[in-house]
Amino acid sequence: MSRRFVSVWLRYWPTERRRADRIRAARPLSVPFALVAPVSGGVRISAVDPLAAAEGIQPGMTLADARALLPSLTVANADPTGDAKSLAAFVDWCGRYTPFTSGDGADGAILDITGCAHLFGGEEKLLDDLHIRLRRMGLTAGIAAADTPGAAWAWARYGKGMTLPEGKARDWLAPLPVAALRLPAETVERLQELGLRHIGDLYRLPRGPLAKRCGIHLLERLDRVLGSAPEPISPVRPAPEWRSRMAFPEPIGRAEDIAEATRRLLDQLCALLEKNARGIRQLALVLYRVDGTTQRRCIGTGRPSRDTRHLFRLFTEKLAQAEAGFGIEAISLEATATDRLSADQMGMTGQRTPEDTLAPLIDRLRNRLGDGGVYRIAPVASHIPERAVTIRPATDDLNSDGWIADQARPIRLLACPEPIDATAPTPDDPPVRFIWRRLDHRVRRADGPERIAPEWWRWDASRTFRDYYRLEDEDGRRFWVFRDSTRGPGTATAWYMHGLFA
Amino acid sequence: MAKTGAADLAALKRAIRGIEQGGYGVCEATPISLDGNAIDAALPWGGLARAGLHDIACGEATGFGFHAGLLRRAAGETGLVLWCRHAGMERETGLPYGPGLSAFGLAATQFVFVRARKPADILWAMEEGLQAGSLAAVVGDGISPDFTATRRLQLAAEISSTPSFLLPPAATGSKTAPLSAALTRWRVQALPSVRDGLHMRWRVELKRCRGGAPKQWTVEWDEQTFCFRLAEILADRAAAG
Repeated sequence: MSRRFVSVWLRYWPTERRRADRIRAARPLSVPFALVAPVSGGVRISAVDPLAAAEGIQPGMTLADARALLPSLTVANADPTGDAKSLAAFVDWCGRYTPFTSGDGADGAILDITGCAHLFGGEEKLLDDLHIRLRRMGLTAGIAAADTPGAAWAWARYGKGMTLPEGKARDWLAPLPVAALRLPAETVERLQELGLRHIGDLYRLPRGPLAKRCGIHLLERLDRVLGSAPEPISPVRPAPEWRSRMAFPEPIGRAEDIAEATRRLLDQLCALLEKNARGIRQLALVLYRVDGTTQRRCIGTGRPSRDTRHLFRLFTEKLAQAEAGFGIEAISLEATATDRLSADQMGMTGQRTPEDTLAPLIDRLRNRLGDGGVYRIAPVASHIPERAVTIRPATDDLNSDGWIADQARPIRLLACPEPIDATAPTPDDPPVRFIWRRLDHRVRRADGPERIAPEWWRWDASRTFRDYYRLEDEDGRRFWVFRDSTRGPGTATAWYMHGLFA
Repeated sequence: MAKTGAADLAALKRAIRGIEQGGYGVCEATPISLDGNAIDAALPWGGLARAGLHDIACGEATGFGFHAGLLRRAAGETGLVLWCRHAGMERETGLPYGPGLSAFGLAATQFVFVRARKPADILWAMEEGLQAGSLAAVVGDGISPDFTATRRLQLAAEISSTPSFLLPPAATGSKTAPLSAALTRWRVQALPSVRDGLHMRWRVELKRCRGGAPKQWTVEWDEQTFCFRLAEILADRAAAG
């Protein structure tokens, strides 16, 4: 089966994408509209809408000329970044037809519909559906399906009708102008100087001299358009391994409906994965809205799962934030990452260990709070107090090594040691009183010192000799303080608060 | 005949106790034994109720040890603890420190920490943890939730029989504590040590207890048995004098 591509050409994208804004701003759509941008030599028209185009306004004109031609013209400032951004959103929306979608230049999209058309009742129906939806969005579009992206591009812009049948590209493209090959302007000019106006003219010429005159680029384009060389397209997102989708005859908007659809899609997807012994690691729910935008909600799991109830629960948080807008016309559920999960791992033993129930809990916490929001700790063999603990992802399985409990350690450790104002009778004694966080503490008992030397194999800011003391004040509070003994004799001693006991 | 009468009476008594002490579920689970002695006996459940929310108010550097001891009593050697921390309180109270906790017989593998900036997220995480049903304890650190939130936590704890401990920030813990649906409210203060080696002691005040009377003790931690015990009276006097 040969491959099929659909090219969508949004001829008036920069102006037409602003339709909703214009409606909101109560500007009549029946007035010619154009976008302007300042360039060297004055303000020029950068894009027009169909009405303005019909009146003879063309991109590149100065604003003054355009106004002279058509006094009723309304203008707004061009916004190329915004155009590109909303085109990307449009390309995402095209994902309702196929997972392989890609932006194509500044005003188009390319869809690889190989093997997708039957879902819509055939290619014709798919193209009709696309056409109707685009018209409803108020977009003037050229649409064409062909065997290669290049041929589809050419047919969408220069062809008649929407379908270029399989294997007919060579014949049907022959009468089209050479510009349909998507060549740089200078190459097109050069070809026209040579009297080569149509694509068909190129077929008859020997390839060697043609390449010499017009550049190897021309032949490459020709080969790609005709399908003798592959033209790679890079989809906006990596295509998911597994996917289930659902389209609605009428747009839906109620949260309950979205939840129900999600549940059904999950059942489908999990059944599919079960057959293939895969479990879900990452899942994306894509809502295709009527206004041509998409909403993507992603969840992740710590270990592969096919438990629909668990997965659905992960989505409930995300669904609450979903905005239906004017309605949702299709939903797809894509497993963007999966892992092996064979059937016998699922609930064969009646006994569930705490770790088994912990994994779903951690998934839920991580999906709401982010990966940094949930963690576990593990011991590290280091005498430096702040290095003795390392933070591990919550999904890690930890071994049960403990800390060496030869010395008393505080229950809470301050994130960074805080300087305290301590009074000690002699430099080598523990303090008798100190001020920490503006409170005066009189020391009743002290225990220490415990000398902690720096790790000689490291060279960084923590390279200090510290003498730790446990102090108890009159109220029974217990603190862990240290004296920075790195400095030589004669300098003032610096004391720090590092931890809290009791 | 007399036998059934006795059984009926026992059932009735249990029902009444259930109503008094906050839901049937509260009495069903085996309680957390604190010292296996006087403190347990003073609590209406014969120990600390497992299916409940407990509010432990303590100032800076005064009650962390008591809290760690409670966790050890609730979780044992292997039980999992979900510790939900308020990220905004980190500078204030520091981070729970593994080596220090291990002195209370709690291993690093027993903890899962949650760190969130919004109290609503912490409460949500606590509730999720309580609903999971497989945890040995859930901790809410650095938040002082309102009555509705504590009620929710209490109900979740009752359903899953998972104890949860609240550690409100020091400032609110001292004076105007908000209304709370917690089963018990404690106030813990550190006491000066009497023996060498800075042995930890606390004055533990049971301020409110559903179905029980307020009481206070002087409590020590026994590092050999990982158990609380009452400090010796004599030692107490010596400290006072």
